[in-house]
Amino acid sequence: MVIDLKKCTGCRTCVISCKVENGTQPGVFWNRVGIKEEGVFPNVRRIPVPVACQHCEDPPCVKVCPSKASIRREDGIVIIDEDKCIGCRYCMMACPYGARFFIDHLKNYFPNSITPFEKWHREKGWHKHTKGVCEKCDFCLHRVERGLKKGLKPGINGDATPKCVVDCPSKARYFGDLDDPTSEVSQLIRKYGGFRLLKEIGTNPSVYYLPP
Amino acid sequence: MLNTSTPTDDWVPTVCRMCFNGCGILVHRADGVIAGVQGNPSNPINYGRICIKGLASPMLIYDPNRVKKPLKRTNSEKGIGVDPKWKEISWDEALDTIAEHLRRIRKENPNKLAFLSIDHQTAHIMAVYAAAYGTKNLWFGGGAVQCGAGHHQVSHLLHASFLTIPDLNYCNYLIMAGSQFGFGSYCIPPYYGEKMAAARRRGMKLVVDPFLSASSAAKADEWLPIRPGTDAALALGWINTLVNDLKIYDKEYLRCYTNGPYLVKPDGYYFRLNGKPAVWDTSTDEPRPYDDVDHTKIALEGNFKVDEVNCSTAFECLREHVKKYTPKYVEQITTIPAPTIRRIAEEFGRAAMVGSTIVIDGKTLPYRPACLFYFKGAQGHKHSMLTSIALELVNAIVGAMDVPGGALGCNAYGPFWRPKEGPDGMLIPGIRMVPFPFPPRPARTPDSYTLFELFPIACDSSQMFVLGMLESERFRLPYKIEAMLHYFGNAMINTGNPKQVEAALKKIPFITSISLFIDETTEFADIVLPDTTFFERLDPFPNLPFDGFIPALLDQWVWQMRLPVVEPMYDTKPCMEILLELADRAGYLKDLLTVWNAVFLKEPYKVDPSKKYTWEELVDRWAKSRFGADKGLDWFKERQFIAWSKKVEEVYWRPFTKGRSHIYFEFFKKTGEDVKKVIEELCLEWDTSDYQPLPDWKPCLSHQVDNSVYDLYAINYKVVEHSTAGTLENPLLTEISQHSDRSLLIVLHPSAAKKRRIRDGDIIWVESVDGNKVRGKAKLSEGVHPEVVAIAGSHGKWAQGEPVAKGKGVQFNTLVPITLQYTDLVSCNEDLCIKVRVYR
Repeated sequence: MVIDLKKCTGCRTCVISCKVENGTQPGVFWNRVGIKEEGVFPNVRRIPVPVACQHCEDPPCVKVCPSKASIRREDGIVIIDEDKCIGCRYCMMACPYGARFFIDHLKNYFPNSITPFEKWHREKGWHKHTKGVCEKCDFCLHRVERGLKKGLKPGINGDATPKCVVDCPSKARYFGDLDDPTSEVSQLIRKYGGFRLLKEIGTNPSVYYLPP
Repeated sequence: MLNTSTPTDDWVPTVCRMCFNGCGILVHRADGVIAGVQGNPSNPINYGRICIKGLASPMLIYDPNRVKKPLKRTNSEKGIGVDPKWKEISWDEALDTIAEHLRRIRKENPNKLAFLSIDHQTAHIMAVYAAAYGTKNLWFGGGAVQCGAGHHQVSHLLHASFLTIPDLNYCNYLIMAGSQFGFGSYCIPPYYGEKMAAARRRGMKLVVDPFLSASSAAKADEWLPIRPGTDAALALGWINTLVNDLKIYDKEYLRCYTNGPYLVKPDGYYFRLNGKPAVWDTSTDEPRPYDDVDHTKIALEGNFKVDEVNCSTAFECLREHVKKYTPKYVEQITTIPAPTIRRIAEEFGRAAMVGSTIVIDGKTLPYRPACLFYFKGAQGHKHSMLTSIALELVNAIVGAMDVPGGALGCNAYGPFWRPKEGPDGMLIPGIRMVPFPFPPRPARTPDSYTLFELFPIACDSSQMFVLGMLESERFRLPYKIEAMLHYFGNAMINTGNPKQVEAALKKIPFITSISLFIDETTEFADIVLPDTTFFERLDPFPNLPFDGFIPALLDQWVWQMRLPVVEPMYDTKPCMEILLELADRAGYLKDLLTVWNAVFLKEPYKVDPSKKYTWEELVDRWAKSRFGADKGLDWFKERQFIAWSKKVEEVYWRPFTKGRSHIYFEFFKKTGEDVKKVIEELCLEWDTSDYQPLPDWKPCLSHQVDNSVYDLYAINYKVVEHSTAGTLENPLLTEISQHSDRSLLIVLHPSAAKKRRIRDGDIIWVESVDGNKVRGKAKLSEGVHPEVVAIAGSHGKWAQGEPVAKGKGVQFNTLVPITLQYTDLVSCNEDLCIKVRVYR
């Protein structure tokens, strides 16, 4: 994934996009947007930085997981098997990007009632959201897999692409194959000098940022 | 891990209603439940993208706090915080009770009924209901606070359109004054968000001037933090630098497409021949009527002696008039350094490439890739009209007007209308759903509660309704308001100081609210009828309420139909159908259908006013009247929208259109004199000095406060996750606000905070010079002008019926008094910069 910080306006559409697609509960943000304020008046910059799971090539969360619930798939997507997760939260401690959330109890958006929307997501949505496990961004695996089955191309066809990429009002997000040097994402990284967060710690994220 | 079950689902196309824009969306309907929303990829309004508010919309329909049944008030006492003691009643009882009031009042004097709403998407229908009933009292509640009175009126005068947008396809240098256009606020965030980001990516320079580094300023190439309410001075400084210093101006545009060459006498009026404004013919050296000279021979500049009278061209008057706005003088007013003012003017002037052309679709057009765009922040002030004129004239000077790269009067030139030449050869819009300023209406003693008769060039004067109610004797209003029909809109929150709105509402004996929630305004209702959300109703053409307002697209025409996705929940009914039913029960259905015929329908689809029709039948006939026999409601149910490409001359219409734009506002003089006569008869204190033919910067009330204790300007701004006061009850959006570093807080500069021993996170008071005060949590930021306290949105709600929204954020409007002193008496905009003191 490539996120163009020049184009990103910090509107947080990606945050809600993710929540609505994946039915996450209050307080859980697989996508977040931080604002970095730099400088002194009137030379001030406010740079929005969207952060989610960086799908590292060398993911610390996978290394520390005692139950092998956190795994890195062959296609590079890091996922959590909720059935195997024992809720020890080592992965949360290990993740330098704060991308993981622990579900200590199930919560609803309106107190004392559950909306049909939330109920549907909990019972029939793409994610189970089980109490006592960790969860995080999986690059909308359900969309990618469904799309691939239909012969669609992730990053090109919306139905095979993570929802935050599809929804972004500024078209600041791109999705594609980093191993293919001709892909749009590879070209953007080369053209604009894409960089990765906390490069120095050697996690090798699969999420690149274009400079603001 | 993924669930493996496959739900039975489909995607239903319809129109979003989380803000006024109305993007095309697909609603994920799974097992009868709305499980998600996404942009409709085939709809050219948003091409599959969507904003944060649209995505959060499932929480609107499923909010357990919705009104579920008709309610009757049993506590006759009304007021903020007073429990109405609701009692559930049947639809029949509710409708019959309301109909009885409507029938009685209509017989006495239909003006005794007021309509209140701020739904842009059905405003055209509300106007028809009101006209059919016979009342002129339409309170477009919140219009002034949220919207751009001055902008719209100047847009009509210079661009023949309700709104002006920058041409992001070609613009290379964009100045944005007081706006976050393209950054999530105002016009179609998913459309202009993409255009703005792409333009910045390709190298368009963006200069912005708000007092707060919000989204637009955060991403700009240059931020010019300005003192609130001084944008006019900045614009006049730029115009002065361009025309007097750098001598950069578009002579061809000014001569052929504006009243720049019209001769002006020393008294400010045109010199006329045969009743027509005269210009100087350089081939014969004599004055001639403007339409009787070869345009290449018309003098744009100079002073001429005509019949022993010294006349100047209007452009010459402007050039002379702006001379006092030297960068140094402007620096004192705005706090922006003089060299910066000069540099930006020069960069803008050069970027406009005056004289250049471009070929688009085989047509050679003037190319002016520089634009100044302004909206709420710049002109939500006391002298809104003059400020808007000053700002828009920056574009006019370089000819960046309705040509590639410049400021575009959006949808001015349409498939069913086009701008025209009006009186004095001046440009007038081709459509007329909203009153526009030229030619002005006669000023009269008011007989509407919005005092509209005293605003002869305004589009709207809605918030004056509150003053009309509170001081009806002072304005000699000849009748009393006896009932109000209210739907969609929260005037208590959106209009100004709630105590004043409360007092006004308390004077109305019978109020009906058609509402989703018991919000702050609905709390004053006598009967509440439960409305549906946009997922549960059919609305015809919500995008083109004024046939030219929205969607403000650069490339496509789109007419959409809002289609119901699910059946109405609980015991609710769609508002438009309720109004239709009420017309029937109150005995004015026949008149309603007659007006419906006149406004929306053509033969052979007109209705027989003596019969009854369903809402679907009326919508079907409207669609057929517009698009032909084969494109009725059934067609729209299948396709949801109709779209086609705009022609070059529809987007860049200036070279294809006769009629001159105003750069000199001669008619203001006469209008001001007319208003003065009326107010003298009424013995009102009413300042008419802003009716002047050329713009000036004038201080707001807040600039004139002579009390050093009140040393900061409180000012309001918009946040992306909310639209007016209606979205704060949405827990997804409110959670976003709670995680934001600003939305619900009071932002002030560290230097201002230090002086007052305020630390980040302290609870502070903001108290206005008028004695109104609000409380909230302080947020210190370098990204705010040190003279400013910034408060976002229409937050700080208190209604019990919206528990998610209740108590979140700060109620800025509490600080805004609804008075003539805080109102621009030309455009009727409200002044939103308030002098305050801040303390712990």
